[in-house]
Parts: sequence; C-alpha cells; structure tokens
Amino acid sequence: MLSFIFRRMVSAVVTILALATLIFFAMHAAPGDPLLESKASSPEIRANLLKHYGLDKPLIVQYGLFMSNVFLKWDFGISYSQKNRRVNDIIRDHFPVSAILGLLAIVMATVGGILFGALTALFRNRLPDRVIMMLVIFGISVPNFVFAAWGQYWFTVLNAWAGWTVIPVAGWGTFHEMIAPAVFLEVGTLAYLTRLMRSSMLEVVTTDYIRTAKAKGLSPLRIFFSHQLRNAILPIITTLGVALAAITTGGFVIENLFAIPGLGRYFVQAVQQLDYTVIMGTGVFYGAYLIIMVQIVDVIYGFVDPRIRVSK
Amino acid sequence: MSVETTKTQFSPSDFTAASRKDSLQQLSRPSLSYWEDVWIRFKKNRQATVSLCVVVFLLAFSFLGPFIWIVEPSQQNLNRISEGPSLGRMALVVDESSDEQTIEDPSFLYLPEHDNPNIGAPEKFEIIGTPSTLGVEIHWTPVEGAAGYLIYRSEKVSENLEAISDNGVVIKEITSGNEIGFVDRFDIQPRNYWYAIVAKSIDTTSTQYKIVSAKVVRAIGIEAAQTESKNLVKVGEMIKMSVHPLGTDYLGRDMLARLMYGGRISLIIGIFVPLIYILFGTLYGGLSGYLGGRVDNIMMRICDIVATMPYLLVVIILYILLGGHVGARSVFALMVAMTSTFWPGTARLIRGQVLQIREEGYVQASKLLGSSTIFIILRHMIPNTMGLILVNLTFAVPTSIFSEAFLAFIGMGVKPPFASWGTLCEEGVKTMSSSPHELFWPAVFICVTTLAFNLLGDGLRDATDSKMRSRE
Repeated sequence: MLSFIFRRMVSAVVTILALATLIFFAMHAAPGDPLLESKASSPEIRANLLKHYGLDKPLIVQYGLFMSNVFLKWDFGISYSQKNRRVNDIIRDHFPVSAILGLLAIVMATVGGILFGALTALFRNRLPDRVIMMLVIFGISVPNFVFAAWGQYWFTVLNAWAGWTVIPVAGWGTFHEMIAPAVFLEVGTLAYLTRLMRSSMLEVVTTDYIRTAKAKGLSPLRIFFSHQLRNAILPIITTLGVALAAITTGGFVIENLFAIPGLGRYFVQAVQQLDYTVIMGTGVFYGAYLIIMVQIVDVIYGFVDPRIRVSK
Repeated sequence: MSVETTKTQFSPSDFTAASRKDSLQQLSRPSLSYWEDVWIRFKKNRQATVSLCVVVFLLAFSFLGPFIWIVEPSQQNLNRISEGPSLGRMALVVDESSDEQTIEDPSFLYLPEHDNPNIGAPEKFEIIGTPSTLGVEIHWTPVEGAAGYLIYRSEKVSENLEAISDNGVVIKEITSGNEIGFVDRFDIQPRNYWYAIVAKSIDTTSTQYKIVSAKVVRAIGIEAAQTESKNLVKVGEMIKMSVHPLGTDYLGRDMLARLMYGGRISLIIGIFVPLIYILFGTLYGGLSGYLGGRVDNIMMRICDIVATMPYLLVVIILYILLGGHVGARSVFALMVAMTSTFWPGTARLIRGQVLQIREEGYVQASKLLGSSTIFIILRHMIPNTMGLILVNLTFAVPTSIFSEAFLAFIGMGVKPPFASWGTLCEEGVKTMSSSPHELFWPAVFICVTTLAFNLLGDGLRDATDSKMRSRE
C-alpha cells in the first residue's frame, strides 16, 4: 500500500513539474507584448519594467527562477495588469471561494447521482426511471452555461413574482447565495453520475453474490443497501477525480455569470487581458490542485478496492 | 452419399478425389462479413437510425444549407436588430427626417417662480402623425405653472394613471414647462401603447393626468426601404421586408444564415478534432501495445502525464501560445490545442485492445502459419479495433463541440470573422431577456447535435460489440 501511495505521489510531482514547464514556456512564446506602449512609454521605463519583472534575464535563467520561486518559496510573482498585486494574494483571496463552490457542487452531484441512479435502477423501466433518464439526457446534452443563463433568468422572474429573493442569482457570501451557482455547476456531472450509477447498479444485480444473498433469504432492503448499493458505488469513486476537474473548470463560466469572486473568474480575466504572470501563477496552482486531487481520489480508490493497488 | 458403417478396412480405390466445385456444406444463410452484421444490428435499433438521420440532416443543414438559403451571414442591418422569428413582415415606409430636437412652444415662455400644488393637466394630449416603430410623436398643450412633465408608457391596457405607472415606466421626464412635444423612440414594437402625462410644478406632481393610446405600425425609413426593395419605394407605401425565418441577432444579421455558418465551424471542429486525435491516439496506443516492454512503459508514462493534466487548462494555455486570440488563427489554434490534449484516452483504449488481440488464438494461429507482422496488423489488428475506434470517434464529436462552446463562452473560442454555435450562444446570452431566440436557436442546435451523436454512439457500440448483445 505504501509503495502504491509513493508511486502516486511521484506521478503527481512529475505531472505538476511538466505542467509548470509547459505553462512557463507557452506563456513566454505566446505572441503579444506584456508591456504595452501605455505602460512602457519610454525606453528607460521599459528597461526598468523589464528589470522589475525579471524579463531582462535569459529565458533559461527566468525558467529556473520561476520554478524555484513557485515550488521552493511559494511565490507566484506580481500581476502585470493590476499594479503591485501579488499573485499569491489573488490566490489566497479568491481560491477559497472557488473551493467552497466546487466542494458544494461535487457533494451535490455525488449524493444526487448515487440517489437518482439507485432510484432508476430500483424502478427500472417504470415511470420514475423514465422521467429521471429523460432529465439525464437533457442534462448531458445541454451545455451548463446555457442552463445557468436560462436558470438565472427564470430565477429572476420567480423572485420578481414572489416579491422576495427566493433564490439569489448573483453575489457571494451566504449559503443562500451559493445554492443557484452550485446547482448549475453540477448539473452536467450529476446527469453523468446518475447514468453511471444506473448501469453500475444493473450490472451488480446479475452478480453471483446478489444471487447468494437472495438464496440466503436476506430481506430485499438489506440486499439493496448493503450488497447492491455498496458495490455499485465503486465506479462512482473512480470518476470523482474527473468530475472534480469538470466542476472546477466549469466554475470558469459559472463564476462569471453569477458574479462570484472566485479564482476561476480571475483566471479567465487574466487570460482575456493576457496578464502573463497571473495566468502562469493561477494556471500552475489550479493544475497542481486538480492533479493532487485526482491522485488523492486514486489513493482512496486503492483503499476501497484492493485490486487496483496490484494492477496499476 | 451412403456410408457402410460395417466396413473397417479401406483401400485407396475406395476413395475418389472430391471435386472442388462440390460444396460439401450447404450454407443455410449467406455468409455475412463483420460490417454487414453490424449494419443489420444497427438498422434494428430505431433510436440509432433516427440519430443517424439527424446527423445527416445537421451536416446537410450546415454544408448544403448555404446553397439554398443564400444570405450573407455577416451582413449587418442595424435597422432590424434582434427581430423575432417570422415568415415575412410588412412595413410602412416613412420619411425619417424628423429631427431629434426638443419640441417647444416659443410663445409660451413661462418659468414658475414658486411651487403650485394645484397644478392641472394639459388640455390636449395627442399623437401626431402615424405612430410607428421608428418613433411615436406626442404633443400636448402647455400647463400654467408647470416646471416640467412626466410621461408614462405602458404596454398593457391601462385606463388610469395608476394602471399605467403599475404596468409601465416613466419613459421621459421633461424638465421645462414650455416643451410641448416628445418623440418616443425607446424600443418600440408594433403593438398598442398607452401614454399618460402628468404636469409637475417645482416640488409637487399633479394628481391630474391625460391618457392617450397609440397603435404602432411597423415602419421603415425611406433609405433603408430602398435597400430592402428592388422597386422604387415612396413614403406611405407598405412594403414587404426581407424574410428572416429565425429572426435576426443584435446586429441585425440573419439567424438562419448564421446558424448554418456557425454549424459549419462547430461541425468541422467537432469532427476533425476527434479524427486527428483518434488517429494519433490509435497509432500511439497501437505502437506502444505492439512493441511492449520498456518502450511501452515509457510511452504510457508520457500518456499518463498528459492524461492527468486538467485538459481545459492546457487547452487554454496552448490556445494562447498559438495566438488564438488573434482572430484569423483562432480556429487553427483551437483545433491544435484540443487535439494535443485529448488523445491519451484513445491511446490507452487502443493499447489495451491491441494487448488483448495479440494474445487471441487466431493471431497465434496466424503467426504459426507464418504470417508477417504487417499482415497481422492489417488483417487482424485493424479490423478488430475498427469498431472500437468508430464508437470512440462518435462519442468524441459531442465532447469536442461542447468544449468548443465552453471555450467560446469564456472568450477563448473561435473569434470573428469566424463564428460557431458556441459563439452564437455567447452573444445570445447577452440579449437573452429581451430577445430569447438569439440564445435559443444555437443552444437547440448544440443540444440536438450532442444528443444525436451520443445516441448514435450508443447504437454503434451495441452493434459493433458482440459482447454487448447479451446485455440490456
């Protein structure tokens, strides 16, 4: 088990370093000048700014500095577009918002997916199954920003009709305000997990141990909860890493639509303004976060299902 | 043929050579190749055949549609922005030379010196000329002691001031007592409007009011009308305006033409990106699986690293690297960025399949019979992975279209002069509450495409995988 965890850790570190390298060189090779006329109005100012941002050194030295700053000192540099704003501060201020939103969304998606998936399997080919599977097809085939934009609009209509804010459609702070963005963030993942859970449940039904349990005379309820459901959840755990990545990147859109001060929104803004240091910093941070999460999910899966430790 | 079962001793004369023409076995059914079998099973699946028809329709819509619906998708018409879907509209040609200046009565130079709480309402409050979508001109008679007027507008039937202010808004606040007219040009649609006027003194607003209703007709300025119609048009004529069956967007561009154009880009990205990366992934995975050993190990580590990276993040980074935000290069940048991050899944899948087939009895038998590596790859490996590749490709199309739309939405998709269903959605969201059709149509097309390809993929998977037959 220890060697399994160790292998996962090495894999995570190598991937993060590769990603950081890719991001660094991509940002330096990208077309466009980070110091535009408006900032560097004279050659002297330009030289000073280049020195300030460390852009006067050879690329390989810059790369070494970037990597050692990021991974040894946890220093992501200074923003180009926001004066004197350190990328560390941006991450510290805004990442918790994204993390809470993502966490809420993933909990909703997982719990909902397991619940609805189990329901559809239980009522296979009957009304609840058909209704839920119809909604699932809808959830998978409509992009989440369309859902979010329409949902936001209809919530506004609902609020206007009710005369009070039933569901807030913008802002951030209270739990009340987190509901709508979290729901729209997870809707695609929820649909996907529901479908996965359904097929997994139906596969488990045909296994020998369920037949044995039936033959032993266990109550259907007991079979359902402690044999069928427990075993059917396994594939859900494997996809949690992917689901988390989908939800986190989905946040880029939702945070913009719902005016949430999350890191995703800052990342998108930085990309639109070509603020290279912020792109590098938040990009490496986001990447590292997701890679570590995926590996943690893998390790958890290794705990839950011993077969994985051997085969991987 | 009769066989003597009792005979145990044979001599060569008992045997004759069988003619090659004689078929020893009479097949009861014609022998089917793998793909014929797949096609038969696929045809039985109604969901899948319907999806195939939808896919064909979408391709025809995007690629052949422009030959039938010959409208330039980038043609702007600022006279006709955000129009709803319709099959033809008539419009009144009017002279749009009416000026924007305030309408004043110079003989009525009255400036109130002190507040008058008992101020009355204008004697007359009337519509001047034909109220049209280009403007509704309202005139009234000035009121003694007025320092200004409030003009309300409502779209619902309103018989008194309370109803108008409840249903409508204050469309104009006039801050001078000697203005006697106002032209309302704010977002006027061809329907009935109710206007009310209330005079104001310095600090108080009158309780008396006047109401007038206007039945607005669709109108078009004479100059704009001349571009719509081939014949010479005159003021006061009704002309038929050019048809926009699905409406127009926020710059007056025809939605149908834009959907066709956007569909072309979306489908090109949605089909070519998977084609390229699945080809690459197949070669990579196949090579890795076939070579095995150390090379396989290293190749799969690289594959793992790429697969573990959050792909949308990497796509965004590569998109910037390739200068996607420059516009003309956006489609190319997007396609390269997507293909270079999506392939590991396919590579792993194909490698697994190759490893499995390599150990199959028929490959061993083929080797035993002395077939070359090339022959084994061509005769056994490729045909046996073809089904898997095809299914993978079908499922990859909606994923690519989705990713493109997502990136377009955060401003990292295709850029003008290009447009895709994703960018149409992004534009549509901005005007969603006033003209929902601008978001509705592209969203429907994305939705239908995704659904059709997903169901087609399901059908193909069931049809190509003989193991799947026993399930469900």
